[in-house]
This record gives sequence, structure tokens and C-alpha cells, in this order.
Amino acid sequence: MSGKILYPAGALVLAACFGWRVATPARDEIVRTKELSIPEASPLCPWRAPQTDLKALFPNATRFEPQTLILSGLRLSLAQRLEPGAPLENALRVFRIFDGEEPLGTVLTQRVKGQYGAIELVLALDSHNAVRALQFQRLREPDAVARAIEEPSWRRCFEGKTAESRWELGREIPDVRPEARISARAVVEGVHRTLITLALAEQNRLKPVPALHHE
Amino acid sequence: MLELAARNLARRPLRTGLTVSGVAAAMAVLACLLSFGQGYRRGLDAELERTGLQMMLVPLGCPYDAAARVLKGRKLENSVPEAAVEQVRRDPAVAAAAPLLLAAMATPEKGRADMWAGVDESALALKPWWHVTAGSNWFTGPNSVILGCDAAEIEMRRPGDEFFSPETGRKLRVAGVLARSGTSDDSLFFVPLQTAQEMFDQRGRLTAIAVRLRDPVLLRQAVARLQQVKGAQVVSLTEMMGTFLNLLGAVRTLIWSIAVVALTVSGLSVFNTLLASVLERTRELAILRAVGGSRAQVLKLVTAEAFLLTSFGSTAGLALTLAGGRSLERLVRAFVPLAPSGHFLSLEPAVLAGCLTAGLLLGTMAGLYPAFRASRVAPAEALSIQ
Repeated sequence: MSGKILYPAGALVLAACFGWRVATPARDEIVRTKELSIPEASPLCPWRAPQTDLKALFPNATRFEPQTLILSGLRLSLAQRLEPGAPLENALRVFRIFDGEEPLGTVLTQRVKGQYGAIELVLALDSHNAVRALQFQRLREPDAVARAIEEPSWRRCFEGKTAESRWELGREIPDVRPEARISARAVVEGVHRTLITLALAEQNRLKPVPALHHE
Repeated sequence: MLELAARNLARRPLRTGLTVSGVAAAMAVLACLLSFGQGYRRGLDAELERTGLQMMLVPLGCPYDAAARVLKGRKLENSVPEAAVEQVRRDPAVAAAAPLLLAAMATPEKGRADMWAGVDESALALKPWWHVTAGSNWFTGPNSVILGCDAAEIEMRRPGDEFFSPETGRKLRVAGVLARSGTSDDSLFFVPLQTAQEMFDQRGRLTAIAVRLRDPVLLRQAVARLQQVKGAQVVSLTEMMGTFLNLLGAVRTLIWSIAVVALTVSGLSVFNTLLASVLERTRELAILRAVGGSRAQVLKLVTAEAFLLTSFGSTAGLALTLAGGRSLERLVRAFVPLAPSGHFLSLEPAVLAGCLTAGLLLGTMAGLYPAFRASRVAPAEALSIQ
């Protein structure tokens, strides 16, 4: 007689245990989720003062279109084209510059590793992807270094160069004072790397994704 | 005896079933509430643990003005004297006190807003998230810097790299890079306290003393004592702490009120069922007494019925909690203010065992009066009524 009560009670306990098992994720599921975490990529370099820079770089510009090119499909080509050990970017920020509907050129922003901190470049290219101007939007180098690389005559040496040009500090690009050499080399290599990356992206007709951030 | 009691209960399956269901529902409510209470408390404790500190001692004057000055990179007119640190550490409620010198170097024309923090080793006690992903866990010398993870990414620094502060002309070397903490530390440049004092010409001066208490409950007494420290005023995380403490107190009171109601309902349900059963069976109990059953045996029989009712009900209630607890948690989470992250339904064996014991004790006690009443049935009187 008591079995009439005990059996349903036992069934209820079993059902509860089953429900508990279903509701609680298994230990290996939790571990697997952790293993699939996405590695952090280095942050994209923003364009900090577009209006001011546009006036200096493209005085006739009326508007610009930000684009982000995802480079994951080009990693092998980039690794072959770039210097060994050069950082492989995940994405390239490109700003297409227009006068109305007429394209005037491109602005690229890039962060390079200076001797004492990051140096952020703003690189203006003409419609043939040759350097039109080079500016620095952010750096933390000591005065002597900053003066050397911000020197207008030194920066003018980049003008007209393309991805295919020769880039060597002390030959095609004039040397700087010894204390600024590490950062100057980083700038030269950074500009060259950016031009190669853009050229490869355009050769491979990468479709731009919408801008990831508000400009 | 238990078998006889079970047979008696089985004679009225609907009434027994309803009583068991009532006890089960009450027990499920009790177990869920206690588990919620415990898990919620633990979740809040963990959240507080992550904040690392409960109050700050800042210079006299308007703390908002001081914060604005720091953010604009201007020197503080007032500061906390460094000697105050020892005084704060001697307070019995203080578990750790860390001196801080904060300085912001904002140069918008150069696109930078550097945030520097001078700390000493006591800061580690206030920053449980302080772990490096690369390099050394602490400064390797007076000219070393530890970078928050965002700061390191933006400055492209790794341990061993040089680092320069253009505003102060100080050259430093990166000792380590902190793991992401999700706090403002991710963007900071940490230097040894003395280095920061030299860099920003603040020798012997502090921006603040961060304080962690032994127990957040000691907050009010500690604030009252630390207000006496010369040259400093206490800014506690009053609103947050107050909200937490009030919420916690209210939750605890609510939980115990509902738990008492649930247990009372459960007890009354058993009491009602058994009393009705005893009244129905007066003649039967009288016969039992007439054929030699003792008062103690009758008492035991009815008490056993109460025990069986509550044990079935309690077991079913706990089973329901185990089965549906997580779903209930998901449902409740949407309505709980400041719900801590992670599970706050803490279904621990101790809680479940406590609920089961409380349920059995109360149910058995609820059966005592009906059992006593049954044992007092006088055989002759009861039989003569019929």
C-alpha cells in the first residue's frame, strides 16, 4: 500500500535529478567555450582631426567616405610582400576623399612603433596612390626626436613615393640625427607597409565593410 | 508503525495528495528563497570584492573640484599628507589602505590624454584584478612603468620597451602589461609612488588614500573615525554601498518573512489534515484503544502519519526546486535590481538539508496536537456516542 506513495515520490526525485542535469551545462561545454575565445587584435588607428587635416591635405575636398578593409584573406600575400617580422594588420582604415563626386585621393591612418611610444601617421595619397603628404597626429617622442621626424623638409621626401618605390633610410629617404633614427625608421617602414597593404587590397578588390566607428 | 501510518494516509488519497502538494509547494518556496538569498549575498560580496575599495580619503575641499583639477592636469591646491596613510592603516576596521597620486596630462593638440597613477605595493591588496599578461608583476626600479592593457595596445609597448613622458621629460622602461580588468586601470600608466611624486612635483603629497574595509558593514563607524584624519575628508562609495546594504537588508527581511509564512502554511496544512483525520476516525481509534492499544501507540501512529506527510511533501518540494530552480532564476533575474553576475540561486546541500530538517520538524510538531487528541480518546465514551 505504501508503495502507491513511495513510487510516485521516487519518480518525482528522478525527474528532478534529470531536470537539474539538463539545466546545468556540462563541465566540458564550459571549458570548450573558454577555449574558443577570440584573441584580441590591435586597435585600429582613428583619424583624430579629419576636418583640420583635410583643409591642409586636400583643400578642395568637400567630403570623405570612411572604409574599413578586412585583411584576413591577404595575410599570406602580405607576409610575402612585407619585411620579415613586420606586423600583419587585421584591417586597414581608408578614407576616400571627394570634391563632390570627383575622387581626389585617399587618407590612411596608421600606428607605428616609435622608440618611446606609438606614432600615429596621417598619410595623404593622390588618386594614383602616391604619397601626397605625411603628417603626425600623435606621438610621445622626446623633443629632439619629434623635431627630427616632424621636420617639413624630411617629410617632403616621402612625396611622390608609391608602394613600388625604394624605401631606405639614409638613401632614398634622408638620414636623421642618430637619436631619432629608430623612430624615423619606424615611420619609413610604416608608410611603406601601409602603401603595400593598400595596393594589395586594391589588387585583390577587397570590398570595404561599413565604417566600424563614427568618424 | 510507519506502514500502518502509510495505509491510513492512503485511505484518503485526494486529501493526502493535496496536503503533500501544499507541503511541497511551501518547501519549494522556502528552498528557493533561501538559495536566492544566499546566492544573492554571495554575488553582491563578489561584486564588492571586484570594486576593491569602499572609501577614499581625499584632500579637504570640494572632491568634485579636486577630480576636475586632476583630469585637467592641474596641480592640486590641497593634498592629503603622506603621514595620514599610517593613521588610516591603524584603524581597526581598515584591511588595507593604499596611497595614490593621480595625474592627468591632457594635450589635445597632440592627441593625447595621459593618465598616470603613482602607487605603492599596498595597492595590490585593493586591486584583486592586478595580473600582468607579460613582464613583471611589479615595478623593477624607480624608472619602470606598468601599463594598463589598453594603454599598452595604443602605445604599442611590450615589457622592456622604452616609454617617455613628454610633459615631465621622464624616460621610463616598461616592466609589465596588466591583464584586462574592465576598469579604468586599463588605460592608466602606473609608476612607483615616489617616481610619480617626483615627476609631477608633488613630493610628500597624495591625491587620495584608497581604503578597503575588513567588512563593509563597518563602513559607518569607519567613516566616523577616519573623518578625524587631519587634512583629509572621507568620500565613501555611500550611494552604492548604501543601496547594496539596504537592498541586502530588505532582501533578507523579505526572505525570512516569506519563509515563515511558507512554513506556517505547511504546518497548518498538516495540522488540518491530521485533525480532520483523527476526528473522522474517533470510533476506530476507540476500538484500537479497547483492544489494547496504549495511548503512546496511538500518539506514535498519528505522529508517524504527520512525519510521512511532511517527508513526502518536503522531498517533492526539494525535487521541484532542483528541477525548476534554474528556469525560475532566469525568470526572476529580469525583475531583480542590481542582479549580480553569475548564478544567484545557490542550491547547496546545506541549504537543502536545512529546509528538509525544518520541514520535517515543523510538520511533525504540527501533528502533535492531533496525535495528543487521538491518544486522549476514551474507548467507552467514544463507542457509546455511536
